[in-house]
Amino acid sequence: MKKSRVLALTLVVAVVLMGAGYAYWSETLTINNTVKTGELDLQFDYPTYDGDYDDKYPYSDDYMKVDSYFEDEKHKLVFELEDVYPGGGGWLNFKIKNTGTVPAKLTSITPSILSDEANMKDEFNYALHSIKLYYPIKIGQWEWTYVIPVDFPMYATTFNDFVGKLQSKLSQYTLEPGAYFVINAESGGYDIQLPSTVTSDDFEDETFKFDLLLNFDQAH
Amino acid sequence: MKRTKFLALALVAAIMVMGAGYAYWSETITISNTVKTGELDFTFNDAAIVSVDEYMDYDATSTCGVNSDDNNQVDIVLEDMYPGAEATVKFDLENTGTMKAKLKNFAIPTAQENEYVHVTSVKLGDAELLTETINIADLDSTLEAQNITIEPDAEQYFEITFEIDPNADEDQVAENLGDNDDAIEFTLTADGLQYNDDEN
Repeated sequence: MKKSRVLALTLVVAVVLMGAGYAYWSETLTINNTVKTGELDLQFDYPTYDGDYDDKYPYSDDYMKVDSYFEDEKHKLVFELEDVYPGGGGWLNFKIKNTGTVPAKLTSITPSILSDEANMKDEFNYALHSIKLYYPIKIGQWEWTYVIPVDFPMYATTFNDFVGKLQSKLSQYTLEPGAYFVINAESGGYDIQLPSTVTSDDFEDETFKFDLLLNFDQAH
Repeated sequence: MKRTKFLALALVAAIMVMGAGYAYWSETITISNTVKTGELDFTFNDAAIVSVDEYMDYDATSTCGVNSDDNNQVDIVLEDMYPGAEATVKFDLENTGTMKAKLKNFAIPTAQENEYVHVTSVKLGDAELLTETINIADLDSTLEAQNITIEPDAEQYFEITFEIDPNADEDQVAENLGDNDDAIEFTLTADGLQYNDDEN
């Protein structure tokens, strides 16, 4: 009897020492993940056009200067008018394009007045002559551009009214990737004019400088 | 059970600390606007006496010059004139503004219209405007009819010859006018306007 017990105990110790116990086959599976994010990216885009005008003499525009150009990899559009006089003004046609991979929507426009010593901001007439939304759709091998006319001419006689209306119009629609707004018209686009009713010498040789920050969020 | 509740609470706290919630991407693009206004401005330049008749200026005191306090004004003083005497003055009017401008509403006050003061010559640049002598009262309308415009940074040359009526007698043009603040005076004014101003 004692011999049996010793043998059993020896067997157990041996098995324990071998490291065996109760073992099963095993295998490792791996899920290899790579997540690349898209981007929310809005840019101003070509073409842009600019010009100046006189409300009575449309071709007598030799006395003002106008210029527009991109900065910051087309995230900033610079519009400059010089030597504007009562009855004269300038216009700008431009495009805002969703160059990212997710839809975007304008949520607000933040105005930032950088220089207005003569307090001129409400002396100007502001106008938007046409806003259109273009977005590409693909049917089979064909790509189409669908145009939605966003609005008719819109006028504002105060700065805040202009900003409010621009925001109101642009925020109505979601910009899908590849879609774009065009602010454009035959007779102008985005206009800033000093009305001929301005007679005060206080507004001669003065500067009004402001930024409009167009804030877009990912649409959801 | 307690351990489960504690674990759930820990998870919630962890998420809050991470700052997670519901957030979306955002981006801002900018339209940068600069509007600079021009100005409407004129300056008289090179105002001077061109010539006076032989017996004027006995003391050489006739003058024609830009007013020292106001470069929009020319002051002319003609000394020792007499019936038949002529004096010619000149000046340039420069458009120092940023747009084309025009001169309108030339005027001489009615009270200053002296029928014995004549104008025998008016030149704009090289062009003679008169074909005959006119009265000083007609100088404003003569200039008005020219629709004078001046481009920015350009000048318009004026040359005007004044004459005392050769036929005036001592009752009509007295001697020694000016010695007692009774000189013959007249002021010609005009408005400088923007070229596109059709209302003034």
